Amino acid sequence: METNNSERKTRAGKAPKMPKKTPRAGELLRRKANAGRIITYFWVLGFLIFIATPLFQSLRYAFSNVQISLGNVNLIPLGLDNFVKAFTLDAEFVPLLIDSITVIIVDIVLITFFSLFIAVMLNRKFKGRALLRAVFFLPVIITSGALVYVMQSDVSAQFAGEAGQQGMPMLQTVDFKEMLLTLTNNNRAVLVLTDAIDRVYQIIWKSGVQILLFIAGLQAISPALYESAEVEGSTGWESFWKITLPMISPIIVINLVYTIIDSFTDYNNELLRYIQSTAFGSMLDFGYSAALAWIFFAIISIFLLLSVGLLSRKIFYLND
Amino acid sequence: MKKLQNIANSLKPSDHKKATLAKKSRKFIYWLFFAMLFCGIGYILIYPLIFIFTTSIKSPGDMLDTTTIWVAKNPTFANYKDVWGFIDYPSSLINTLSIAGIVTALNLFVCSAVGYGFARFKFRERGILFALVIFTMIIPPQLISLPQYLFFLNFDILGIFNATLGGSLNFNNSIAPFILPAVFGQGLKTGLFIYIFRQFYRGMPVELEEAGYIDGSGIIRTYFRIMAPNAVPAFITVGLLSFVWHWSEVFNQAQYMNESPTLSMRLIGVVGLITRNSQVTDLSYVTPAKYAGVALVILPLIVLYLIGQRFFVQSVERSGIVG
Repeated sequence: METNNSERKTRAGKAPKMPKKTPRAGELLRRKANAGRIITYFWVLGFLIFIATPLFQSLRYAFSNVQISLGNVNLIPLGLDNFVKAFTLDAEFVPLLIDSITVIIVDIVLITFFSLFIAVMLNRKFKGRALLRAVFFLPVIITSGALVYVMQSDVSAQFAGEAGQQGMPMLQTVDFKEMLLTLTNNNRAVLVLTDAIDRVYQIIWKSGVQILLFIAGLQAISPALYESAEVEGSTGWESFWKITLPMISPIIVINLVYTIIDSFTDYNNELLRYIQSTAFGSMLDFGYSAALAWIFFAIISIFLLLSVGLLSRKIFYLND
Repeated sequence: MKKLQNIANSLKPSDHKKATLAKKSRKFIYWLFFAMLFCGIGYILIYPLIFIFTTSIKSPGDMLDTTTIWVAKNPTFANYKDVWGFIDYPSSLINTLSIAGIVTALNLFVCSAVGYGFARFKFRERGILFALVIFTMIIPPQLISLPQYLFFLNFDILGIFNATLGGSLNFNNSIAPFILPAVFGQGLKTGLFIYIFRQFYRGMPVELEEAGYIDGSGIIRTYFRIMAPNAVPAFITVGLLSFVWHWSEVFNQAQYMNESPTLSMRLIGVVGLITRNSQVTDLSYVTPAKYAGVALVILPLIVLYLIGQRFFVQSVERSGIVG
């Protein structure tokens, strides 16, 4: 208390014209700022130990040959060799990288459209809405890369055909795919499309969180906007394009970021499994694995920055 | 006004009736369209669950019988009994539960406090620090998994343990690699959790806190007595998400829990476990057994969802995850 008093006096002495309230308010503000610093710097400490240090180390690994013996790490500098190897010598990496990135991009587009559509529908008032929502958020809880992975391997097992047992009906588009391929003279773009169709149930299963985010955003839109639009004679279609879409645009960016980070922990991401296996599997090449992870991270970051940069011009913030 | 309407109606009664009929039929078509759409998508969403549970109780005879698709003729729970032993369910469950449970509790406690720190306290470098939180969200865990692995293999901070215990600690095959980061608000998708809490606290009225301060309660007390109890929806959301994601996460668990496998790790290798333990490679036995294993792993989550579903749906909608 004494220090508080003395502080108040010195402050009052410096600025005698200030009303009496200000020093106390300033006191509280300063105390609050310090409290905020204590909490957040605690997090920053964890960031330095568990994120920043490993990140820096993995960058060093990426440029060297890592040899581990009895827990001791020896780094033999290689320069850019690991990166050169990834693009010139490794037969698996580049196709996996291209596949994984096209899958992520196709997923982002499909998931965004699908989840926005479903969210707009689920936001209407109708009977049985609670039940429907429970069903639609089911994937949020139960979905896991591991589960999808296990079920997928069942489909590739030929048992499905032999015993007349049905696998995933969504995946049985083989004939359709071959038809399209012959029609377009083996165009690779068709494969992207048919793969997306094959993964329809996966995409629907992956959209749970995104639907949630969109619904949360839709509910934040003031009904007054729609009412006044209706009074002015706007149709539902016009209201969607002029009100819903601009108001929901910030969430599209959040969903984009979420979809990408979600794919990082997805066990179905073959590239990530490959990166993990180069380090911990048979190859035990830690430096190379780090280099591959950095290439993937760099490409994803560039894509993220570009898309957010492009979208941010179109994003509409109500408060600005 | 009413009179005018009455007059108008009496003048053109047939037109009016037509209009309502058209409106009604349009509404019905609309309803039919959405009913069909939602039934279709709902089927896709529930399909895997039905598939898992119906397949898991099939006997080998049912698997070979082409007329049996959904309802098994000779349902058997022997698959469950077998797989229970094959995947060593009790101990796997304990491993998973100890990771998911402890980390979730820590996430709730630490991330909520950090989110509150970012939401309600103003200081100059806040913006930069929050940008760091967002940055952690987009780092693939695989990028730092190896240095982290080595870090936990020779765990030592500034040589303290080396000096006092005469050697660094080995945290491999323990749950410490999951818990230690969580203590500092780091770990699987914690950036998102901090973000959710920050948004929620930002949306709460400032008057709540001010009332606390005026009544002479300190910052910590205000937080625990006023802010946290009013943020229950955010706590339920983050709690459920964190628990479920740690339940089904594979990469990190496979890395650290090599000798004490968790449920998700068992799930990935379930087919191998079944064939090795039962010495049967016949798919008419392996497939139902596999789905019995899948069912055992996701059953606790389904129960959890059925209990918390109502809270969860409401809470996410209200938590204002959205900026």
